[in-house]
Amino acid sequence: MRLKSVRAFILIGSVACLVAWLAVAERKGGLAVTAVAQEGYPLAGTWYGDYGTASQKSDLTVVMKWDGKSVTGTVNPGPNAIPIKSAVMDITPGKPAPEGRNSTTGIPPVFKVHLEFNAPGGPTVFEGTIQNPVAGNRRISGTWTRGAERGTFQLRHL
Amino acid sequence: MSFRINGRDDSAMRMTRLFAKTAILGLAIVLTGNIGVTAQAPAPAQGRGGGRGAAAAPPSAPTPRRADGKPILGSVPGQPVGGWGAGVTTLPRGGGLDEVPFQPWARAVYDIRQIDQFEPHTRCKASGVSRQFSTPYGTEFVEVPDLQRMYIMDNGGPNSYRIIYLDGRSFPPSIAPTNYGYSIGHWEGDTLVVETRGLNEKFWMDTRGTPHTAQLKFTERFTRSDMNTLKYQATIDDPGTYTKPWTTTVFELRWRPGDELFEYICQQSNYGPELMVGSQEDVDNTRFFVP
Repeated sequence: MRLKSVRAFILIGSVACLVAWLAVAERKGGLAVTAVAQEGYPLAGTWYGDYGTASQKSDLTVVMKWDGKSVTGTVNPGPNAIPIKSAVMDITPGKPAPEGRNSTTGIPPVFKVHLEFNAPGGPTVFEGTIQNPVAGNRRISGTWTRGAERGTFQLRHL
Repeated sequence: MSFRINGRDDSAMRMTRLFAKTAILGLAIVLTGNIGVTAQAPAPAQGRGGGRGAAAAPPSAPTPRRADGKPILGSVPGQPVGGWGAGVTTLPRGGGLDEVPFQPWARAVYDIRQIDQFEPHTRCKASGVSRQFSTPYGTEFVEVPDLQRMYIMDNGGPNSYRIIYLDGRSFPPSIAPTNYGYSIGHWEGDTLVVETRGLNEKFWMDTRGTPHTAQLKFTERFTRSDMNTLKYQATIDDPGTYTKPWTTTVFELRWRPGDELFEYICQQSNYGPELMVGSQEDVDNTRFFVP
């Protein structure tokens, strides 16, 4: 009973300290704005998935930001984060349906993605296509190469 | 393409509401024995739907003004409460798409949205700035001079509102992006100029999917040129989406006297469910989508 009280005291104290810190940080304008799902520029946001070969897969997280001119970001954020060297979209324009015609008769644009970063194993290149690029749950899938290594990858937008 | 938005015209519902309004008005006349016409009596009610198919309205009364001379953008004290009908559909309408300074990716996104048409508004998401003025159920402007702010209430979505601060404040250094953003207004003559920042990317600016990023600064100009007309023009400054700022044509919203907002909870009474479940014939709903 006494141990529970001590635990409860510590828990309540911790929460109180956190609330106080948040309040002070916010008043000082020091709190960063929480990232929100991006549905404007198709590459922007956080992507999660995996890459590898048919026999081995590794988790992959990619975070990208768009400043209006270029994409910056990191691969696998954390202590071993790898900065993105290059991330570009290659868009093949579509052909919307003429006004008054069923919209599904239009041809949608195709969004290709080229992503480069220097992994510990060497320069790595991802080439893929965005599926459903205007949706919040869009995906990228394609192939990757690193020297003689190659395989497939898939990422979904979080 | 037709005007395709949530809460689309439902003729049966409109007729029911019109009948109810007529009955209430008739009862009021019987009880009070007069109609109460004033010097600024608005044009006859046009019903919901922006007055499509209505008879030509008589010449409008002049712009209503407050005691200090500033135009009243909403209902006039002493007169029936009213609202503005839908008036903004596609922002690029004025100059056509080729004159909009899209970045290449933005034009591609615009094009693909013409096919998918997965507008967040049809999934009951609040839609800010110009998209507020596209729903057939209209908007209501409520200015509270004592608080130095104005509320723009909109129906047909999540039954929410936008706040416009009129107290001369500046934008905060950091704004958490939201659907309605952070709006500050000031008067330039008879025009209310409103700048909005802090907008997120979870809504479309119009019913056609004109894209934007969170870098958007959206400036609106509201001018009530007479009792029944609100002129609306927007300038889009979004370096994440466009190569330079651009300004829309001038849209006109029409006053609908007696058109009070009603409780519309999109999540429980979405009048456009076919947009969500996929029976709309000319929309490709076969692609997997989670709103």
